[in-house]
This record gives sequence, C-alpha cells and structure tokens, in this order.
Amino acid sequence: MIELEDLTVGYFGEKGSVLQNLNIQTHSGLVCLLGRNGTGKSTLLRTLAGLQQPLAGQVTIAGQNIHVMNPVERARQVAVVLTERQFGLGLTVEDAVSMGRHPHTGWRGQLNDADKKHVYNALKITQAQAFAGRYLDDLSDGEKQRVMIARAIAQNPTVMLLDEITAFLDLPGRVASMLLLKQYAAENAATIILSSHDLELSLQLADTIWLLDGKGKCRCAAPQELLQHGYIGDAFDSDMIAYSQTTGQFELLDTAAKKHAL
Amino acid sequence: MNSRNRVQLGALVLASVLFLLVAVSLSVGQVALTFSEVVGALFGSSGNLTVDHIVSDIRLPRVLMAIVAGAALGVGGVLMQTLFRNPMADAWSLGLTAGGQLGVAIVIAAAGFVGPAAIGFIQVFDGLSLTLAAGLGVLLSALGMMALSRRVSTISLLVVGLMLGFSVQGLVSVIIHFANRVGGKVYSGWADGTFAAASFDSIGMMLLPISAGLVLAANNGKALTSLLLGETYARSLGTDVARLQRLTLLAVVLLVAPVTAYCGPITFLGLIVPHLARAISRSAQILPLLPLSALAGAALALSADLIVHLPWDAHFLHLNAVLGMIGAPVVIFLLVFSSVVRRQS
Repeated sequence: MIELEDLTVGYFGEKGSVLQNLNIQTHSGLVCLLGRNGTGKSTLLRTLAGLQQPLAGQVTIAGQNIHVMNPVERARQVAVVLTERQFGLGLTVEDAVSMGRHPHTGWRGQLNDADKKHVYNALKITQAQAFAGRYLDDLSDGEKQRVMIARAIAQNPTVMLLDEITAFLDLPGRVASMLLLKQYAAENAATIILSSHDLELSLQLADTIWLLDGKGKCRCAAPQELLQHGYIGDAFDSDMIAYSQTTGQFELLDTAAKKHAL
Repeated sequence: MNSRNRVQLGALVLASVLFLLVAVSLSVGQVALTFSEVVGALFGSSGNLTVDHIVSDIRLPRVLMAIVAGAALGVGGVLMQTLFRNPMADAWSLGLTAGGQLGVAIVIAAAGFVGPAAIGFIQVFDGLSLTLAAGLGVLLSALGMMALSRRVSTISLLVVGLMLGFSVQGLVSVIIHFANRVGGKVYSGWADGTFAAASFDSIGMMLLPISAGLVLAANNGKALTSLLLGETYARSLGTDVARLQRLTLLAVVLLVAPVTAYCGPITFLGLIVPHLARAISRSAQILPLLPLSALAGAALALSADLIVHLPWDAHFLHLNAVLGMIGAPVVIFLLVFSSVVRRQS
C-alpha cells in the first residue's frame, strides 16, 4: 500500500509546486496515472520513487516514509522504469535484469539460487528470454523497454513506478505489458503506478485511476466512477475536443472542424 | 559457456601469456640470455656478474614496472569508461595524464628557481613530491572533465582531452625551457612514456597508492555496474551516485598518478584494455572486469615494452609509438562501428 499525506510535489525556487496537498491511499493493483502534458506526472512519479524530495507532506509505503528510508532498503520496496534508452557499453540483457537483484545481494552482487530464480522468472514473464544473451544496444526500443520491465520485476518490489513506458510499443505490445503488470500486481499484492497517455486502454485495464486535473489536484477513483461523473472530460477537454460519455471517445468539436476548414 | 567460466578461463589464459612474456622479456634484449641463465640470475646467481646485473638490475625492474603500470592503467580505464559512460575514456585520452605531467613540470621548475639544493631534494624525495604533484594535476583535470562531460558529447569530450594533452606538452616545454638545466634533465627522461627508468625503490613507492586504488575499485564494483544504466536507475537501485563518483575519481587518481609520475604519459593502454576485457567476459559487470583488465593491461604493457627492447640495430623505437600502432586503429574502429559512440555524437 502506498499512501500520500498532504503531499506537495514540485521544485524549489522559481518553478514552484506542481501538485498540492495530495491525500491518496492506494492498495494493491494497477494504477494508471493520467493527465495532460505538463500536469506533473513525471514529477509525481519521481517524488514517489524517492528520487526527488517533496516540497511538503510525505509518502509512506507499508507505514514507512520513503524519503527518510535508507536508499538500499527503499530499493527493495520500490522499482522504477523510465524512458531512458541509452545504456553503458557492453551491457547484456542478463546484466541489466540481474541488476534488479542488487538491493538484495551482498557487496559483490553475487546471485544465489533464489536471486537467479527471480531473474529467470522476470525474463520469462516479460518474454525477454529470447534475447537474454544479447547486448542491450542491439535491441529495439520496445525490446529494451521489456528488458527494463523485467529488471524492475526481478527487483521484486511492493511498489513499481513506470513512466510512459508504453510510448514505444504498438497496441498489442501495450496491452501485453499492461496485462503482465496487472498480473504481477495481483500475484504479489503490489501497487503498480503507470503514467500513460493511453486513455482508452488505461480506463479498460486499470484497477484505479489517478487523474491529474491540471490545476494541481489529483483525483483517485475507479475508472467507472470517473467516467460517470464526467471527470475525464474535465481533465482533457479543450476548445478542440470533448469527451463523450455516450461513445466513450473524444469527439472533434465543430469549432475545431471549422478552424481546420479555414 | 557462461560469463563466470569465461572470466575464469580468460584470466587463466591472460596469466599464462603474462608469465610467458615475463620469461621472454628477461631473456631477450641487446644481450641474448638463455632461460637457464635468467633463472640462475633470478634465484641466487648465474655465476656471471654481468648476467646477474642485466637480469636483476636492468630487466627485472623494467618488467615489474610494466606489469604494475599496465595493470593500474587497465583498471583505471574501466573506471573512467564507466564513470564517464564513454567507451573512449581513459586517463590519457581525457587529459588526466596531461594534468599530471603539468603538475610534475611545475614542481621541477619551482625547485629549479629555489636552487640546486631543491633539485637534490626532489631527486631524493622524487617519489613523494612528484607523485603528489602528478596526483594533484590528475585530480584537477579529472574534475574539470567531469564538469565538462555534462555539457558536451562523448566525442567532443575526447577532442577536448586530446587538445588538453597538446597544450600541456607545449606548456611543459616552455616551463622546462625557463627552468634550471638540471631540472630539465630530471624531466627529459620522463616526457615520453617508458618503463625503462624503473628502480625497485620507485616500484615500491607506487605499490601503496595503486593497491589502495585497486581495493577502492573492487569495493565499488557493484555500484559502478548499476551506473551503466544511468544515474537515475542507479539511484533507484540504492546507489549513492554522488559518493560513488567521488570514490571512483579518487581510485582513478590513486591508480593513474603514480604511473604518470614514474613512467610519463602512456598512451592508449587504458582505452583499449577494457574493450578487450569485455570481449572476454561478454558482460559489462564491473567486478569481473577488474582482474581481467589488470591482467590484460599488464600483458599489453609488457608486449609493447618487449617490442621496444628487441635487439634492434638502432634504438629509436618508443613505447608510445608501439601503443599508438595498436591503439589508434581501435579508436577508429570504435568511432566508425560502435553504436554507443555513433548515437551519442
């Protein structure tokens, strides 16, 4: 379980706070973090990962404040997957996934049988076994993303944070990734928070949605509830498009069509 | 074959090659010695004072120096390439050696101005004062390059490092020109890289900082591996990145400064060796790369030194000329074919 208490995230100095006084409790399951560009999705995820200090309030996992935790202890609880795609020379897929075990191993990083099993399972779940022996540099962006998800799974966290990971994948790839994350969450009682621009898929697959409204607030609810109350439209509608409750899709407004015709 | 077996087998092969190179290096030279003469001279006496002198006082220190310096530069190369996430980084290519050279030249010049007594002082304490001067120079240029690496690309950084080398060479010539002649003499034997100026004393002086550097490197091997994923991923795995960078930089200085102080600028070695080690282990995990790089570095240094000391008619071959013939093509190959380098440029 991850709990946000009066959490204000953002930057010290001119840029200031991005999201204010968030109070959210989320139990295990797949959480999709939705919101328009610049609403603070990445900032929130970085703060939840302990990579960035909050401006106020705190984040706790199983009752422990993650920003005062020992970094190695935190790494046993929280794993992240980022959009970073440049890695060091000579890094193999196996090297990368094995690193998920770093927080659990001794100073040499030697893997015992249990660690090896975690690595093997992670490769299997993500179907990355096929390229286990290859160099990370030789893989496509989508394959790299799968390897990094495998690495996060090998870390065996209770909270996993993924930033826009579906951006490099095609539709079947996105569905596959989200389903395997959902399954991991269910089997390990883990909370998986995934920021995404993929509204339709998120609303269909997520257990919970965190919706950033662009005014510094985050609404946390089940997908159905958000749809019924029209909150999706509130967050995403612009002068060009509007969310239609009846079709469950965004529709181009007449004004936009006119503009385009001109 | 899994990576662990590859590392063990690779280390065994490299160690055997190294042993063979030691044997050949001790026997081959202007005076050819038989293997039994060499063994005799090493363990007691060969019954011939000239042979004893050639083996124990001339060739053995040179061979040991090549091993120590090669191992230090090889491991230093692994650390530099990981720290800068740059496959062409090493102490020489990023200008750390140049910084060390400048430090040494300034100390010698300063001593020259103070007086001949100071030169005597330096010659007595050359170990300490020159190593410290080299260490400070290496550290300053390393810090400068770290700051710069956040602003420029992999290849720009390499060019800056090499230019730093050229400007320091010029600067050193100017400093030595105005310095006392004796000082110039102290320096001149050192401006080009060589293992031949070695003595047992100097090797002894190098062992402490280099051992400390090796221990520090091994101690941070796991954290350095995580750095290969990038700083954010490394932090998410529990690595204290700022501390790791400081410790790695310290290890680099401990490994590189003594070599620069005693052998002068050794080119390309630290750049090539990590690639060789990675090819053997087929993995980028840092900890197994360290012994492989130490062995490969020692073997490469000794091979280059052996070529220099073959019984040529005229003795004009320099160590860096030999290393350049091997190293420059490797750099060109990396520039043209390495996806990492191409993508970052």
